[in-house]
Amino acid sequence: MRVLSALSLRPTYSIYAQGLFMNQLLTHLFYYLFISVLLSVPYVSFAEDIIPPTSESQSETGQPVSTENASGSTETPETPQAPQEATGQLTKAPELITFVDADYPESAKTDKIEAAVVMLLTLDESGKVTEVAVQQSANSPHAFDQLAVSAAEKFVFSPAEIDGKPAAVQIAFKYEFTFTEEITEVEQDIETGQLSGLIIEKGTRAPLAALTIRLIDRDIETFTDAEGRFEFTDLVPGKVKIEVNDEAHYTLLDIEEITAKRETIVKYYLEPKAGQGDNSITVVGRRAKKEVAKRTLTMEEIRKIPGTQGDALKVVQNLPGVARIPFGGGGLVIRGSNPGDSGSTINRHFIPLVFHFGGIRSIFPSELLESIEFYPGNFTPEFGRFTGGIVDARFRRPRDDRFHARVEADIFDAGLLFEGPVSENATLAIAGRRSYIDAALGSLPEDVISFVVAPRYYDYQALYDWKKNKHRVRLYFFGSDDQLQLVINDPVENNPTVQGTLRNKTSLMRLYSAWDYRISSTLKHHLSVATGQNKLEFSLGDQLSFQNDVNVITLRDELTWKKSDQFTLRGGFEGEAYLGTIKLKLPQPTRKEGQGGQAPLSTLDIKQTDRDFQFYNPALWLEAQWRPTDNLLLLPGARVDVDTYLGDVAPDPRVNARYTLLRDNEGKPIGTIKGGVGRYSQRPSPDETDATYGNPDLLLEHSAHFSLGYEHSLSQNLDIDVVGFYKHLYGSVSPIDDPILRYDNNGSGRIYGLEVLFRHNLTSRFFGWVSYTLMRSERKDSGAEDYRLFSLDQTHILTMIAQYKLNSEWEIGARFRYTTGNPQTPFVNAIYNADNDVYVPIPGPVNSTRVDAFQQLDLRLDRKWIFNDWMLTAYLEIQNALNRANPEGENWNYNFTQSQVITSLPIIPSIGLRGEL
Amino acid sequence: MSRKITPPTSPTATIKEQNTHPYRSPQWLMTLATLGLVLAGLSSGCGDDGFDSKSVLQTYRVVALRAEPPELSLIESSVLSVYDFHPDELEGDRPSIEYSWRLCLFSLGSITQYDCLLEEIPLDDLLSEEMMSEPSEDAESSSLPPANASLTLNPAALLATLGEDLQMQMEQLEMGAGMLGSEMNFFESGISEVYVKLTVEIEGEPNFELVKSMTISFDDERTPNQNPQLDEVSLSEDINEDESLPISSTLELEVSAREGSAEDYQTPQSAEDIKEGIPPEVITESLLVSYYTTSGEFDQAVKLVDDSMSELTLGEEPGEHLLYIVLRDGRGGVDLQRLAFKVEESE
Repeated sequence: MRVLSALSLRPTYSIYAQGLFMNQLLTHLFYYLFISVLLSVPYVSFAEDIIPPTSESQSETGQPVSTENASGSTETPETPQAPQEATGQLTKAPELITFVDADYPESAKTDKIEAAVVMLLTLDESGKVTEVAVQQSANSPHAFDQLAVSAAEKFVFSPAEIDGKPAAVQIAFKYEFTFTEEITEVEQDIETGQLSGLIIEKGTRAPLAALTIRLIDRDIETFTDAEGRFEFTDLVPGKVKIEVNDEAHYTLLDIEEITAKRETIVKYYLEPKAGQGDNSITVVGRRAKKEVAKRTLTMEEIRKIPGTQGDALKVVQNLPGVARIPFGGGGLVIRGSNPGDSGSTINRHFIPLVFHFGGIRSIFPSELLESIEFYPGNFTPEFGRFTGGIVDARFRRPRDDRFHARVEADIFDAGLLFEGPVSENATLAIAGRRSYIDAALGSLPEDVISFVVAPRYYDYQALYDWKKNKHRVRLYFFGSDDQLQLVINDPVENNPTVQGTLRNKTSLMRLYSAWDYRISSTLKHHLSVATGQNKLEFSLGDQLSFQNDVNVITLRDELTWKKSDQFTLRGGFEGEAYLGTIKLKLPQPTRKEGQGGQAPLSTLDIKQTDRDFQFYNPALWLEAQWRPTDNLLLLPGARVDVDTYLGDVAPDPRVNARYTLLRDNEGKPIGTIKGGVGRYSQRPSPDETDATYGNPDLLLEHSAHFSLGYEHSLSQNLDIDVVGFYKHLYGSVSPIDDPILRYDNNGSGRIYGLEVLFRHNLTSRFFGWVSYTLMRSERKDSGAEDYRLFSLDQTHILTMIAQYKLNSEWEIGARFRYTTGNPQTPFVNAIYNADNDVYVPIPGPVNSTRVDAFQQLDLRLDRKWIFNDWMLTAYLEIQNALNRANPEGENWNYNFTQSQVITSLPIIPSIGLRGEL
Repeated sequence: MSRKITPPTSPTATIKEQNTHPYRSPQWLMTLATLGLVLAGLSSGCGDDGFDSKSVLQTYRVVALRAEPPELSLIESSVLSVYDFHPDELEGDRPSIEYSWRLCLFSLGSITQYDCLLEEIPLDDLLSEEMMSEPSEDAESSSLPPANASLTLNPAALLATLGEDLQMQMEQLEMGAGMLGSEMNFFESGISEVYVKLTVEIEGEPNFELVKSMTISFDDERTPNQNPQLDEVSLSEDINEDESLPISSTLELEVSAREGSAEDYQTPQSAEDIKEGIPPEVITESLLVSYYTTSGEFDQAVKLVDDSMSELTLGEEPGEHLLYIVLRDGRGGVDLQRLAFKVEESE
């Protein structure tokens, strides 16, 4: 048997972007902004555009609309383009009836050079090609252009029709000169030939199963198997016209020569249509709904939301109940709670840091996350130690189909990701990122501030996942490191202590291991341990310093027993241990939240200490999932937290319920009422309970969550979710005027509001949501008679997000946000401190004024290039596209007699690139 | 051309230690807040925020409140001198100004805007002849400008005058707030800190409130803080009341401090550190010089004394003007000079 390698010319095409929908706003926007870009970039395979004739023939033109591709299947218009003098609509697109192979330049064959030529074909009313112009040359010395033109002149199309009448049109046609990846001819002993091959998706290289492959002129067809392979046997020698048709991909047409006694083997790449990409990423929140409010998003949605640079954790800030942090910081103000009262976890293990430098970028690439589950309140007993909300991110299993690689870069950082199978049962992913902000800031003038180490961060992740039969073992190693060091050359006039070298270093490292064991069909066991270090260092000259090194161990051990479809019991143990040292040289504390102005640093006394500490906090939790009727789901549960440092125990009962009010014809729930009530506890911050700096006799803080809501599916893709909530804070730590005790547990608070989420789920082209929160968050300090506003109280929080996929290459998106301005405490006077030559402000009524509302529009444009074996994606994001000067706070002069508004960042364009193999 | 102004010699500074008020504690895990504070400070100090600089004297201001000596003891009085400025005095028409002095024995300091935990003691009413001793000879013979107001504070006499009233207030404080502990017992710790408050009243203008902390030492072995001393003031142009400088011209200033002005002192310790025998950290004072003027603006109005060069761009307002140079040690020690000069339109 002789195996031969052969070259093959495989022209591929599809009707592409024929339609014009002049009345679609997004189309207009796209057209006017980017049509020139479209026409200037290389077309990928199957690219064929219909555009209006040039000026010489425009009198005959119409306005093309949706039409059929050459294989006869109906195509949705991909890139509608408006003719400048359109007078009608394209009612029938031309179909390619006669296709002619172009000769391959002999000189190019030798070097295996491939090329593509984009031509503008002018068709007359009969479909005959009357003129061929090269629109985009192959730019090659190998005469690709001439040969493509020569072949195209012999094409014959069916007549195009405008307003039902044959009309002349122009189409853009891309002719690709490519080598077949693998074509071998196997000598056989029979008079017939064979055709076999492999069909994979272009870009992702995923095998495409169950596709129909048809030999058009012989009226026979077959299907691809699970591995994307197909085979035709006993074929009469001669040319065969091959068609591969699939709704999710552009139709492929090819011509191959069948030779007697030989097997022709081909490999085809099918290009996905709009809305078909990125399905390999697991969708967020697939588990059954049981909470009153758990928001879920797909990774594809997350990646494209304007203003987030594709950062999954930042997307949470766009959901109902989440207030906006000034200057786009990374904290989460969930249902009016202090950012410190809400926790972030990785695979349900708490981590103190999720963003680099407080909000620039999360410390995990979104690509590695399987899900982000956001619980704005009434979370189940498996979570504790926080009185606000929970954001739980989970790493995904590295892909096991083949090796993948990804390179990504934007204005902040660049990163790499490699993943793939390492054995039959195990997969591995390794990733890392590093910022280059330091390079950009190196050019700042040095007379005021000079950087010793300009701000820089990096993070790294290694994920190993093994599973076999009833066992699954995961090992994750990840961490991050942020650092900056700068010299403030001269004392700051209004705060002269601020001078010298400023150092800040933050790092986090974790080794996470988990073992899941399905003991039986009804019993599952999970054990996970995370160990690591948190390091925080800060210093300013000799005046201030902070160094905190902590070794952390967190553990979860839990069992799930599914007695029946109606009853499941879950419970477990959760423990945390912190052992570390702390060295402090810090000033008298500035005022706590809601207490008004900050005293200048130079007026505060400096104290220092150096000590070791250790504490261990165990917790037990139990939750039942009981479905007494088909429509009712009850989730009673409880959690008991023990704080050995404070010597306090918190039993927290919780219950959630869901009742299905409406079902569709198929019995699927479309209307559900839901509610929950529960108690939540957390320890005060470490400074508040420290013997030297706080009050070691403080106890745990508590909150009670009440919520009631209704969710309704308006259609297959439209959902509305309305939740009302009330949160009562009690036992809150509050500063007092006692210089020894400093704090007590007599603070309280009340937060109430309404959340609405109106969402269009991700379809082939569109997704978006409108999120609105009406809320009021108030606090009552120890000894106070009246409530006051919380410092980040925002009455109205509106977020509107829309993302539209124009075709497989282009997407546009927009985000608009409106929030009520944050409360401010005005200053009514100031006292001159003669020792330090500074003024100490005297605050007026706490949070008695507000800055103006925040409004911002962010835009995003994505462009994807799909090559056979890899994909390249680029995006342009414009934050604050209207360049609105949004107020973020107030700045005061040296003696607090004048103020001016501090505004947010101006319009900021940013770009990013991602290559995926 | 430069002019050197050398003040007369004053007592040599000695190394001493000081603990800040023992019951005022810093808050740890405030790094991020501190970082924010630093950045806020940077933004307010470095950015073009459109506000007038603190160094520009346009309204009534107290430029310095100097105590000599800067610390109190039970056996020595201290003279507090007010150096202030009112824009009318440039035209020789200084208005009538009233000064009201008060003393606060216990306060949480700037975090509570110097609210007094006990009743404030109005010093004007309590001042007896023995408390109001004359300013010391040394102060009179220095290069200090004449003070606009002064007060002599004699703690021993003050305590004797307050007598039972003070004792009663302190007992109330102990019982009411439970504050009597090792940290509050200043008689055991050896030092305490009191606050002198001054209210300046000028008819038709808002009151000016001022506070100065003063350490009272009960420890004979402790070396008290001393005022730093300006040694030399160098100017790029010779200035005095007879010669004029052209408007919008520039003037370079540089000062130096007399040797020993930057004293060493010990940082305060927590009770646990003392219990564990951790020695206190010894720090050298960081001397800052502040410039103020009635004409023009400085490129940098607050400088470290070791790098004190600053450039003054004079204003466009001709006439008599003032330039103040104030040296501070950050612990209550102050020295200053005042220079008068004329600005005229260049011919």
